[in-house]
Amino acid sequence: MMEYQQMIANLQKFWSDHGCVVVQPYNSEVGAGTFNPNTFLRALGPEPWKVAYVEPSKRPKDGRYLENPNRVHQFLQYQVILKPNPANSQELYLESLRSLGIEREEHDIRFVEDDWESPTLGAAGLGWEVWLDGMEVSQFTYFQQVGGIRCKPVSVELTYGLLRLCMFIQGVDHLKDIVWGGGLTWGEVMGQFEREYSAFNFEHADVALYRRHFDEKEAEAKTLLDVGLVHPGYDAVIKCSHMFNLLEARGAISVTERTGYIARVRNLARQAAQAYVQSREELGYPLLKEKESE
Amino acid sequence: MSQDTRSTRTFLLEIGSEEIPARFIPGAMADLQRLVEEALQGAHLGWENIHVMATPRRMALRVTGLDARQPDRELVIKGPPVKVAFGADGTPTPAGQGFARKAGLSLEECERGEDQRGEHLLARKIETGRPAAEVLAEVVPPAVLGVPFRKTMRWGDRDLEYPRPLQWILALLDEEVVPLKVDYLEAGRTTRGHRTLSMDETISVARAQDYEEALLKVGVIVDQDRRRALVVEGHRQALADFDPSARLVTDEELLTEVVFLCEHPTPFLGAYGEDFTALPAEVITTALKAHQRYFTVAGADGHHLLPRFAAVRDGGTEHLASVVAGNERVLRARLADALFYWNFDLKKTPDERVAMLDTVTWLEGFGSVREKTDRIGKLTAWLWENGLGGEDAPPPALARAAAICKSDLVSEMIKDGKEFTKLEGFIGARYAALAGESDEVCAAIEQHYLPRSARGKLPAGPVSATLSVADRLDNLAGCWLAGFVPTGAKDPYALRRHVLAVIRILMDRNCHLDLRGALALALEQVALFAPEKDHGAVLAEIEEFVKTRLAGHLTENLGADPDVVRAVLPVRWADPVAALAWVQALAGYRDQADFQLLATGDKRCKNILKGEVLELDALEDCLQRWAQGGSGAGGEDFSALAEPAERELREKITAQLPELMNSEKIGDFTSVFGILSGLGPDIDRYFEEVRVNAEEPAIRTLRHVFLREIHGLFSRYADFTAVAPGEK
Repeated sequence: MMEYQQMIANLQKFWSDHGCVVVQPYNSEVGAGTFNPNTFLRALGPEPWKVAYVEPSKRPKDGRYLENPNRVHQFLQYQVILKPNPANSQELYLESLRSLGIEREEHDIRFVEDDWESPTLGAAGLGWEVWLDGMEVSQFTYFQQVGGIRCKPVSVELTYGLLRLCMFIQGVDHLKDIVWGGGLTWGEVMGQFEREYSAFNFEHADVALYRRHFDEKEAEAKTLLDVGLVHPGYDAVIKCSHMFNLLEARGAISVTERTGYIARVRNLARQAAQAYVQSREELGYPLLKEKESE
Repeated sequence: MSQDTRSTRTFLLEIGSEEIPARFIPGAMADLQRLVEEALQGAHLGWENIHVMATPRRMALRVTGLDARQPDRELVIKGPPVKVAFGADGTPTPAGQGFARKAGLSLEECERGEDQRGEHLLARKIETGRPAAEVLAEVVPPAVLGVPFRKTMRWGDRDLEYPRPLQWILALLDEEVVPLKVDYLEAGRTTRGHRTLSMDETISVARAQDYEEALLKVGVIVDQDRRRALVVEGHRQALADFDPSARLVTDEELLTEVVFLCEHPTPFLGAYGEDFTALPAEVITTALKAHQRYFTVAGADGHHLLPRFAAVRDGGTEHLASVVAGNERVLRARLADALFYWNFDLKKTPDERVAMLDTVTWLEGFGSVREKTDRIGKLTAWLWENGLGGEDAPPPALARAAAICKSDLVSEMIKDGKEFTKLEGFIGARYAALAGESDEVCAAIEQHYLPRSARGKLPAGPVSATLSVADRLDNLAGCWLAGFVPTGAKDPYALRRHVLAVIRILMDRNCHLDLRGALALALEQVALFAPEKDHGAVLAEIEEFVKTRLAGHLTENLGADPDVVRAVLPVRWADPVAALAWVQALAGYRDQADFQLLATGDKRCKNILKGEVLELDALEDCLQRWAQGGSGAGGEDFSALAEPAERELREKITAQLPELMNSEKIGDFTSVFGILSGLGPDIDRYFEEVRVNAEEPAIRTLRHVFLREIHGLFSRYADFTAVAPGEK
């Protein structure tokens, strides 16, 4: 049986072999791998980019104190960005499944319409959810717009739901029973963490503190982006997004307020996107030149 | 071209792409067929048959009996006038020579033609028809890219847009590749096989005629009708083997989606545990359909669900057992979610959930859903007492249903826009029933969302109907005041649909409701949320909107003559049921001679009055004046109008008036128009014999007042000028 860590290792090798730079997770709380600047910022502008990484995705609202067999507040996604999207991106994806021991001829694999939109990121794309014998195991998205800016060239984003895939591969019905590696299960590695964070997100997070953090980080983001410090500024945007998710899980945001918070994060994301595009232009698009000189 | 030399070809076009959303495919197939037909017609290429087929990854079009080439055509090109082409002495000018040279003829070969501007040169030449391949290469790509889609995307570095990236184009005319190019994609003879059955093998197709057969060998059943038949027959067989009395719950929409989600269907039957049978059948059906695209299976009665589902694998029968097991596991998790919501929700009563509605915003700045239910309650009482309820006082069930009709919005099952959201109303009704509410209350909660579409089922019974109308009038007034006015394709709160629903419900119940009063109350109830607005103006806008929707319903859905509708609605829109009866009555008169004299006369009155006519709300008083023998709005006495034609017209109107008013009172609208038509010859005579603009100012003014009263009387029944002869 393939262990959880073996799956990750196999995907790292597969995408490394297919020309991706393999990077490590981002050092800040993100709701999805898309927030990582290696996706959000790099999807912008004309420079080519191929990257693969694991991303611990943190969604405070989804915590269930480890009681739900399929849902936790923090889980690993495997994220691949191919920019521009190659003509055979679906083929590559199906080949990558083979590295996980999933032989496509033994299964029913479908690409079912599922367009993606992130109001907080001002981003949208078209694509599919990938079904494996009826189970949604991945998202496949062609970015059309990021941070309010039209993507050209278009990137394709492949997001593997690692827990789902692993439950499928190992045939377990509760994610805590996933065999991670080193003789341990997911529950043994993450169980206490998950339970405590569920309690924190729903019961103990200090609403006043995080509202203040949101306001402060919002101000900081604006200041930093105004002086062209794209990455520190964008990090503050990520923090804002996480504060918002946390406050929402805590039930501290009314329906009316929600729209306002989302608009505030979106405005910051747009500003970061614009600052990034401008900075790369000023740098003369280094990755574009590198490629041309080859 | 004579019949025996005519030879025909088969053309096969395949547009290969990544998986196109299933919901787009049927429409795209029809559009592609239409566009190719138009292109072939435009290019003068005849054909016998066009057949379009599609899977998620390809759309194929086959033309059989296609002309091998265009027919030769005679072209006539018009040249310069003869006097420009030749000098005064008859020698050709450069203009004449240039025309002949361009046409490829000598000047002597040019003919002469005549038109209103005189004699000119004509070049008559035969254009040789081009071979089909050449023509196809020209006209097919624009047809392919002309297929409209609701949502498209870009890919790679390209600007081309399509619902998903295009991958290849196959274009064969019998055995030859048609040299066409769709944007950057050059057509060839290769296509790709099934992703899993053939491992996406690239194959070459020798002849257009071999296309389907060649794809079948690599696992693709291109023809959707064959796939559909396989699914239907496969499910029938699987059910027969399982339990001969079991039935598939048919769902054409789902079947079409399933057919366009696969290239090689292998139908199968799966199972889920009995432990989910506590869930209502609708919840199970929704879980199966919305997430997994599975069909439900019912017992012999067709309603009671059996713990089985019918699904399709895209692929063959190899490893089918593990595919089925995988699908069953996924479904168990989905149903476990639904059962969790259900059990969680049952811990709360409808009233506890109503209290939670305080925190749910209805429209930003327009209060909570709780406040909305209070308004609905007041509206239902008014509506009930003003026509929707008949004679009796509002029953307790109406107030109760209004109070808890939105309580399911905060249930776990419905909230947050999950897959079960479309069960709103239904879920509320089930929870209400389990909490001991009466059948009538539950039915009204469930049905107040009806009709859900322009032709959808209507609520049954007066309580449900009243609640449905109240909810929609509140939506209309609130959304309008909040600025969500429908424009063009934008109607975010579906106000058009809501108004149509109200009209259909009133007609279905044959209810004479005063919509003007209902709209005024609905607006008054939300006015506090936007105190700065001019509420009178907003009400007028809403009334105009309702009138337009009613006109649309009468003409488009009920087949009424648009002119007749335009004539009747200004006076009658506020009571749609009566408006329909008036429209039907007037339609019968439209072509009658006397009626046309009346309408023409009415139009002449209106023209002479130059807009100085009585307002709509002054027409009732006008009628009353006629009932008293006729006089002007300012008390003007008509006895000074002494010409026989005007005197007799006035007397005739006065004499007919009691019967006219009585006919309206008893609802005999045909007689109303009959009596008015009877005045047609008199009006006609009036304009023949009476000079309205008399020399004497006093008489002239009085005649204008008289005509204003006549036009006012007619306008009280309809705007006859809209149906006057020559207005069509």
